[in-house]
Amino acid sequence: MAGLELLSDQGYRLDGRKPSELRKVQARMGVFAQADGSAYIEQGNTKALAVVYGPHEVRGSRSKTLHDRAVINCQYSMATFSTAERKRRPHGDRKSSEMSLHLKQTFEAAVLTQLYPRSQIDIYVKILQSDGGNYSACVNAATLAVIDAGIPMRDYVCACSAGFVEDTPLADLSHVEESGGGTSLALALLPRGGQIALLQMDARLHQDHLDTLIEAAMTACKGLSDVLDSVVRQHLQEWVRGVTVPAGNQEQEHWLHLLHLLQSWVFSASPCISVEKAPALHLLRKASEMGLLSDPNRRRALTNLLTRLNTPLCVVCYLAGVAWFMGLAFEPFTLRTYMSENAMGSTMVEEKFGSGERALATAREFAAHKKKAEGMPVDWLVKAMQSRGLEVFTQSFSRTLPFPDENKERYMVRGTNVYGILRAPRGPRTESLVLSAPCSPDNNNNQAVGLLLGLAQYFRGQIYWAKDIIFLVNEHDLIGMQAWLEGYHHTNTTGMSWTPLHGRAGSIQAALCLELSTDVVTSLDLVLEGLNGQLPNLDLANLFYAFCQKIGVLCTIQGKLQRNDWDSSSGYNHAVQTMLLMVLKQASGRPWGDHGLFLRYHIEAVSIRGINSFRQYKTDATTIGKLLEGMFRKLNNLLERLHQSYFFYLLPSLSRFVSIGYYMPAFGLLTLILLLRVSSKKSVHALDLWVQLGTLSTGMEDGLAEGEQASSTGVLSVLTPLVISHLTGMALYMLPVLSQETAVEHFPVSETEAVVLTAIAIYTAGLALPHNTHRVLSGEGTEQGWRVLKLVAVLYMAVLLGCTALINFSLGFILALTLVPVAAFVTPHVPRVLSACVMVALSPGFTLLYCVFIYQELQEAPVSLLEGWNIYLSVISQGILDHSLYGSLVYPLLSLFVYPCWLLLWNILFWK
Amino acid sequence: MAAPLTLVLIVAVTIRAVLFNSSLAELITERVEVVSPLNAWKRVVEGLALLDLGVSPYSGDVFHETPLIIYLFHFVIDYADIVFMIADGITAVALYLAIQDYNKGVFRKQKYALEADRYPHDCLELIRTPKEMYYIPLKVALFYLLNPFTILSCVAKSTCGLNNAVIALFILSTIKGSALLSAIFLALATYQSVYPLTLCVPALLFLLQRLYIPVNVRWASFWLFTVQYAVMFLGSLAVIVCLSFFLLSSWDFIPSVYGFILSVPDLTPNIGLFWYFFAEMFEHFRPFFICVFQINVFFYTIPLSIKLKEHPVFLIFMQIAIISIFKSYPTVGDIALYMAFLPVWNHLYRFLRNIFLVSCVLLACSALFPVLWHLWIYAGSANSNFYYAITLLFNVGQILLVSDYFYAYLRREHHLTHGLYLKRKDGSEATLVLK
Repeated sequence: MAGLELLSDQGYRLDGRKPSELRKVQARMGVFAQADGSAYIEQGNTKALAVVYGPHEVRGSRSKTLHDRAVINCQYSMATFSTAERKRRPHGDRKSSEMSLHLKQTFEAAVLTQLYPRSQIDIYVKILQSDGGNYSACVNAATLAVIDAGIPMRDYVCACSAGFVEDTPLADLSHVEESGGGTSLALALLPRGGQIALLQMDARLHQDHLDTLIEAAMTACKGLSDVLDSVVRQHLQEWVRGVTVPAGNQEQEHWLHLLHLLQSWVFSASPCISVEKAPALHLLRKASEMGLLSDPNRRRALTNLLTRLNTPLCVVCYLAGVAWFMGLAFEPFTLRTYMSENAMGSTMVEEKFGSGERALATAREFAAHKKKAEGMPVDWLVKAMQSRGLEVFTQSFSRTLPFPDENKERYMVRGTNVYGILRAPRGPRTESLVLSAPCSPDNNNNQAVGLLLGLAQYFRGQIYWAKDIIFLVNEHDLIGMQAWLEGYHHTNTTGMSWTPLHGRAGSIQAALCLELSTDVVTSLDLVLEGLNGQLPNLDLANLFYAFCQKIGVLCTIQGKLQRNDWDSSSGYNHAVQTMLLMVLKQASGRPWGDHGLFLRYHIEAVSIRGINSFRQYKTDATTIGKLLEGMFRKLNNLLERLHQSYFFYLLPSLSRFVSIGYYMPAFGLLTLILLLRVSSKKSVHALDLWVQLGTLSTGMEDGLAEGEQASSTGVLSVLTPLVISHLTGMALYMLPVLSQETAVEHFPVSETEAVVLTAIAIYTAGLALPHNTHRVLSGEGTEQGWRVLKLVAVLYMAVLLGCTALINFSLGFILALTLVPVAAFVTPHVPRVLSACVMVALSPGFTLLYCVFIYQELQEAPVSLLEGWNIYLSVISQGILDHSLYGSLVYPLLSLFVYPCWLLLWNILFWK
Repeated sequence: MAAPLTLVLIVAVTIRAVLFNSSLAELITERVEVVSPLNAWKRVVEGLALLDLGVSPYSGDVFHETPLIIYLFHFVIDYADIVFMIADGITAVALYLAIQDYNKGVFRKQKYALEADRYPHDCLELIRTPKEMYYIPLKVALFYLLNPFTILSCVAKSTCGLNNAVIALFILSTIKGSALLSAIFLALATYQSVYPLTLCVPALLFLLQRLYIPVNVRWASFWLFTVQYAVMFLGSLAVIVCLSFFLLSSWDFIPSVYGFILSVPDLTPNIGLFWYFFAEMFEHFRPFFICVFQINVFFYTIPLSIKLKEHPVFLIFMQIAIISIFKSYPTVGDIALYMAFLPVWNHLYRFLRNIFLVSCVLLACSALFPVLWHLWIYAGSANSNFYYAITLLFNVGQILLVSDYFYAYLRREHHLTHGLYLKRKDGSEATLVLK
């Protein structure tokens, strides 16, 4: 060693270190904001700066692209001021390019390049001050920068130089020692596995010494790796403390999860950053850059609030919705009914009908002829009407039901309607009113026909009629009525065959249907619920109530008398029962009286039904006649169609009503839950995309590829369940009626049972059928997949329920009551068995079952389970029949839309 | 790429053929959302019957289509279904080719900009890649052909489908750079429904840009080309109008078609904003508000052309959208045309703020239209206010959608010049505010 003694006799080096001692190492990460990763390191007096860009798409010539892994591009340069004398060429000289090549080799060995195919990672390193060990400083700095960029590596790459002086290996050479002429060796190590990434030696060395030298360098590298590790931990600890976790439970969960991952690593003894943690780090870094965490935007604040309070808000909304609904029956919250129509309100009429007894005699005569004719005594009726001075016409009709109706025991129906028109002596005869009474097969309603004929005779004698009055006796109740209405309006919506009508009056303004099912009538019951839950104008109900008050007849609605003790709990219960009965009847969508079919033609109509349940009272035929006379005279005064009063209402009693403005909030609160869930879904959804972005990070241009990815997987994973659920719905709609013959052949059941049981079977089979069909198309179901599906399902349900509630509030509300909680809570992560049970219990089919029991309970005719089941079966068959006979929409709605929508949620529960 | 397009075409034609033969077709033909008094097939048939009887089809207030349409169907009335399917097919293919060409141009421009290092460093993630652009033309065709709105419009045989085809051909010829064809198709489109007149500005801008002529009033070549284009446009318009005159040998069609479009005498409810407003208004305010409403449609051309003069194709999109929102008799077919363009602006997705909300609103409104119509007309329990409320919401949704895209487009352009991560002067994060 010429002149300079590198190792003193005491065994110390020139700068006072022991042979194996490292220089002081200081490092910082994340020194630049613009780059993806950066780090600065000082090893003694050697100072290096490393910056990492990427992974990004390959720049420049595309031919460099590797299809299985990323290209690593390294550039090494030295600052002009880095050495004692100013350098002329800071980069581009042979030494620099050699160093770049070495760095490249090192990092190709360490970075998991196969995670980023077709992309490029740029590593730029600059030596700011050179004092020996340039290569190792560069590698260490670059390692830190790569970690900072969140690019996964196999392990830290630590590099250190070592020299050999006087049989002693020296670690971490300084400039003086390097230039002293001895052998020097640079080594890059992956310390955990002890693999060498690069080994380079400059001068000659005896082979015996090589192992010692490498040993020394490796020890030094391991020492360095500890230092680097602590630097990274330090950096992350600071960073983690600085993070403000955004509010909002869903989002928070994600962040906390990520932070937990990080913390578990930062504060644990695990030696290295592993593959799965790197993306999290990357994500957090990105997020903090994008201002995702600290965005002061108001919008975000609102979203945060919504997401944080989502679950409590949903629960509150649900309870509030139910409470609001129950509150509707409380009398102070309702409005008193009042007559809106001027033409009916202010005019006075005097009822003079007095021939009740004669009407009863006619009724007996009618009964006798009916018995003789074993059906409608057409000839007698025609004669009777003609003798009362009416223009009389008949209409015959026939209809074959899709399957036998077991309740009414009919299959092939054939009958005749008889109607007489009283032409208006005054007025232009362009408008008419209808009074109808059914001719039923048993002994019911004979009195109604008698009364109808009596009224016809009486009305004929009056001169004040400005509208034609049609007296109609229809056979086979609703079927006959349907035939007559279709004939009258020249439409044929249900494929029934009937003979055309030969006589017509003007356009029908209003209709009253009279049913007196007992001989002794104690009170009159008003029936309002029509086809598809349509209700007549409230003024018609007001008119009825006003006349009942005037004449002093006991009047009821839903068979319940009016009570005045609203402040007592039993009074309130009474009102709730009345209202619930109305809601259930309306929700069923079937016409609850002959009037129900008129409503479809824009004709206001009610059924008035005589009942016998309050023994102490008795109402005679004359009184009922007077009531009808009064109502007809008022309707006769109408100048335009009834339109002044409400069409959307609920009646907790005859004198009180709840208008649409009062009951809609109850439904609104329920749908609000869906919207809340959607809003939370949305933000989670967005966040999910972020997470995905981090985990995939296939060197993509973030925003762009992200959208595409989402849409392509989203569409696929949503489309198949959507299609399959709807196909199941279609099957449920079509098959029961179509397959009844096959079913009857193979099973010992009647046609009706076959239809109902097939429906139930398809319904149940639907639960087993469509699980995870998306996997066929898009492979493994992703977390994001079900979120998209749920988003679609929840939106679908919101729109569906909204539309339903507009047309038929009760149906919408009842469906919302059971479906909304399901839609709100279902995820694939809830306990499967329990939630499956809950879901089935809240499915549309079960809702119907509950409705049956509740209805029976409210009718004060509680049934046993078995009876309830039988009623349930008959309700289903009635629903299908109503659809094909009268065009009721409840069955198609349930089978084609509600059930598939529920199946989507079911699909989410079993998402894999 | 031809194979998927063919597949989409086949699927689209199958769906339409099935619907044409189903009972739904009759129902759809009656929907006010799908047909307007201007383009209802029922009226075209009526006009044809009048023509066959030797009566002017414009006598009476039934027929308001142009003479060319009636003569077209005079010959192909038996194949009307096929004509409408072909029209849809032409629209889709024309849009497909146009967007393919446009995307090539965009990509080339971006490449030059990248090579000249004109984009800030942190904007690299805004750069569009060929991979994501590859499927855009197909998506456009898909969006047009399988959009329920288009299908409904086609099944209802609304002549709107033909107008869309003409506009699509206009866009194609413009983007291909053929000034003459562009002017001819624009004249045809204008002849059909007046409003496409506003599309001449973006077309002119695009053609100028293509020829590297700066939009500068002091340049002679600018004036030369503008005058050339205007002459071609007006000339072909004159030819078409004269042809119509010679076909019917009367000028009846001018008041009956254009007067009908501009003075809005028919107040049948539709998805537009006119009917309710003019039904409710006192008669003596009518002329004034007619002017206001009609000027409203045309007015946006000026500010938008100034703001978007560098981006004529986006301007075309904006114009079509504005026309379909504010025109006097809009139908869902008009909406379908501009919605077909949405995939072209896929890359704006990250800047859209309300897209989710808006799409929910549009979906819900589409579902509510028939429901409220039923309640109003059939059940009699609701009234016109209900229906109009939904119309209004639907239009607000559309306006939000379009303005959202507009904002996103401008914002992306801003980022491309100023960098993605904006800092305020004091170094804190800055956010862009639309003012």
